[in-house]
Amino acid sequence: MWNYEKRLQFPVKITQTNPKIAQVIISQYGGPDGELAASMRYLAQRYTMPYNTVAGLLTDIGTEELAHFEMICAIVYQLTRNLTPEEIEKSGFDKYYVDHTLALWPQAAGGIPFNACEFQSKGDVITDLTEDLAAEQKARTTYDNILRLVKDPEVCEPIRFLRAREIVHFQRFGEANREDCSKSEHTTKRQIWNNYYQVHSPVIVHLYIWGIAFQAVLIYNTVLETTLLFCHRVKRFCVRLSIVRS
Amino acid sequence: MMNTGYKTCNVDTCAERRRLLQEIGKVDFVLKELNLYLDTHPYDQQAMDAFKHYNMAKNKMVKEYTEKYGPLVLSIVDTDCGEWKWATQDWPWEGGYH
Repeated sequence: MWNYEKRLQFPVKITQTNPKIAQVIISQYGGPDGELAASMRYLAQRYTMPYNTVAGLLTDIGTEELAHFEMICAIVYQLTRNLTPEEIEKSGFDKYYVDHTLALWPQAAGGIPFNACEFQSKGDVITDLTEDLAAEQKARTTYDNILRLVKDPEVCEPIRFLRAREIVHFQRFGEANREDCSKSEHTTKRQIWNNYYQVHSPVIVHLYIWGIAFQAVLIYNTVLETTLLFCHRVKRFCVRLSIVRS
Repeated sequence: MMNTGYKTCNVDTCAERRRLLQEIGKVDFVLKELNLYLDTHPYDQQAMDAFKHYNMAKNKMVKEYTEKYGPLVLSIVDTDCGEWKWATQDWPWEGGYH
């Protein structure tokens, strides 16, 4: 279940249209390392994530990525608002325009449509989290490339914000990938024993020592009794053979 | 070319509305950061205390914004004013109040 908040995560207000850079930025909507792929990747992976905390992280980052492609779409939308046919033709936006007019459609900068193959959902904790770490870095690189191509500060500011978020997500996925992140809730039998032992260790050592002592006494008694019995039998045998007197 | 898609509004109210919306954005950013941090540090009481503090601050600001300008979330919405502002007001991608 989701709720919508009627605002962008970071303000987008672009006063100068520019269909040329819109075609570059749209890659972060429907491209291979775009926000749409990121969101769907995390929200798909969470079902088979065996740790509650990591499934929570995937839900929360996946949700934030929804807000990110909303920002990307807002940037593209505002960069291409109210264009004239001349501008569309001059900027090379005509190839997009002919199929989608000025609507938002998820594609890469090269015109390749969005594809679910852009993300992996593999069902293995290490595999999925390593994929996510790489995905965040690939998105960060794409934002770096966009920032090299775009000079308009009104566009650069939200792009820089999104770039910084990739780094934070990378950090959090790195923490999720650590063994100790979900230790307390994913308790194995060995951990139950370890916890029990830590709490009860003096009692256990006590019982252990007494156990050994008791067993030692038992063994001693058994050995003694067996030896005595053996001696008794030897003596009786000897008596029967009249070797010794009774 | 100049983007001509923006609707005009009263300069003073618009500036005040933008300021309040930006403040909500800042507080919500802190909440989002704490949210993700707590997902990987679920026993950090100090972070949970901070979350509580900023969550209350955000709710207060959202309530103020809703009363003055219009709804941000459907859980806090004015149903007595005779206008369903959720739908009649601009959507955020239009860039009007940002």
